[in-house]
Amino acid sequence: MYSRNYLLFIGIIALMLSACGPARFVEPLSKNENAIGIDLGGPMVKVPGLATIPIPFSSVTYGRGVSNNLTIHGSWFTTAAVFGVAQIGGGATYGAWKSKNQKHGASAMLGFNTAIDVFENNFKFWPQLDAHYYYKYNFRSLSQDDLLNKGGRPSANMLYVGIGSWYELSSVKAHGEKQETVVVPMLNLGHDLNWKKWTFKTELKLLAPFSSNEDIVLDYISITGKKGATGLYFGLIRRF
Amino acid sequence: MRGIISIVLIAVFILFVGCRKRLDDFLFNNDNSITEYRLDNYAGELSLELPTDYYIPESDIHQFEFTIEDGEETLKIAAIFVGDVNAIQTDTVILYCHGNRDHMDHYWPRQKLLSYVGHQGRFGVLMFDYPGYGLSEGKPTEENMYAATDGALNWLKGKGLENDRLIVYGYSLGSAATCKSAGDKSFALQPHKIVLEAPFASSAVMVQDASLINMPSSYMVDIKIDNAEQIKQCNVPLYWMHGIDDDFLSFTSHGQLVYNNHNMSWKIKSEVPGAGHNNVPVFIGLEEYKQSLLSFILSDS
Repeated sequence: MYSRNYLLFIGIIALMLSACGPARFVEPLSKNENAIGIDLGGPMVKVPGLATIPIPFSSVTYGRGVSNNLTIHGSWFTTAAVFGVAQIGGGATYGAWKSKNQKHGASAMLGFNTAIDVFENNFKFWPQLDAHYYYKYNFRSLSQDDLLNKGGRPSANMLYVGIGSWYELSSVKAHGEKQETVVVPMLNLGHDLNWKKWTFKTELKLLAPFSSNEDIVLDYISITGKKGATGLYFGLIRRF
Repeated sequence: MRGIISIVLIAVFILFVGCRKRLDDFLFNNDNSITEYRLDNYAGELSLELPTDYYIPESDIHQFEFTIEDGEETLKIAAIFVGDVNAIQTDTVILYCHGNRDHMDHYWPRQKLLSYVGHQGRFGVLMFDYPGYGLSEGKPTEENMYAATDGALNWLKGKGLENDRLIVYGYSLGSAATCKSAGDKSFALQPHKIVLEAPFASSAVMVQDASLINMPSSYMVDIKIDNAEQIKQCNVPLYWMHGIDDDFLSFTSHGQLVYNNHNMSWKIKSEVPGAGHNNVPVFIGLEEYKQSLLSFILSDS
């Protein structure tokens, strides 16, 4: 009866912009350590006649360890740029707690996402707050490089789980309707496969798990059924 | 490090300055591969399955073309009028603005159903293909869609139709042409009443439904279809019908918003339980659907 193409793509891009990437620097970098990362992925949708795919959203992130407990970072969202939208995100991740054996830790990230388009100069700003617990395993033996450059922190793989949240500051939406969603919550479950200088990141994200995903143009795939969407993200990080 | 920064800056420049993709091209789902309209013999997917007793005599089917201008180009627009052409100058006519799918063959059962409102042939029903759909020439664009709607109204005006005998019925995408024709004085005729079935509110609503947050539609599209605002200019009676289970254009965020924004006190609605986007007449019941339209058309208030 109708084409979903147009509305499907609108929905996809809209969601890409608002579910833009995996958690950043769950474990803070060491002091003066830098990292550049790229990531790809997004919420999974059923594309009619094609398959169920994670939406290929991409971003580039730079981070720097201000101290062993604090990393500041910024991201530029490349897919958004293709649509004439300058979207950047930034934030600071603070290592709130770490066990003595360094196997466990927790961090919090206060950040923001902002976007402006080149067509009508519509500007948006969304605060973001994340908190994660992580567990490290498969420690490699401490090398001289670890001692010199990583504050004595040996390489290890890492599992993490946490919550994220985006905040909508507008009280009204299009046509003067009330903006009912103030917080978009996310549940993150991820894994960092670490080498000496490289990290391969995989993250599963439950987006808006309490909001209905029915009666909209997208056929979201969600492990919570008719609520929210499930995102899948992959990232590659190079530390230097 | 300097090299990496340079590469990143160049990538930023190329992507942000060079790429300004828009999603407007995905709006129209037209099929212009046909060489003729096959109507009852059409083998493709239909907008509605009608019982076989909905029969239109050959003498009541008038296929024709009218022309519109797209810049310096003249476009032929294909149209079908069902009814007595001579009665246009004295009786009420329904202009049916179809949805986004394929071409008129797909919507032929809808036109037949409307021609049975009251009784077969009670009202003349005009349907046309938007540019780029079916045998209509040109590119499918928002402006061309309005131009073709105006062309259809101009044809009716040439046959003697006046504003007070014009009903415009818009289904889904066709709701944009309907609201535009009722709200803008630049059209050849202004409808006396309008019917909106499963109307689209705006791109902004679409974006915000999908993202949950208040994201501007200008981040993705240029298209200006905005029935939620345009309906405020439509100072004519409205009949809105929408499937409560419409999983495409949400009953609440699209249809109800358009209905609520209509400023006139004379408006009626059919909130149809169980119906989705494309089967409202079936769920209302074909007889009740026709009767409710007849009442709306004939009623004075």
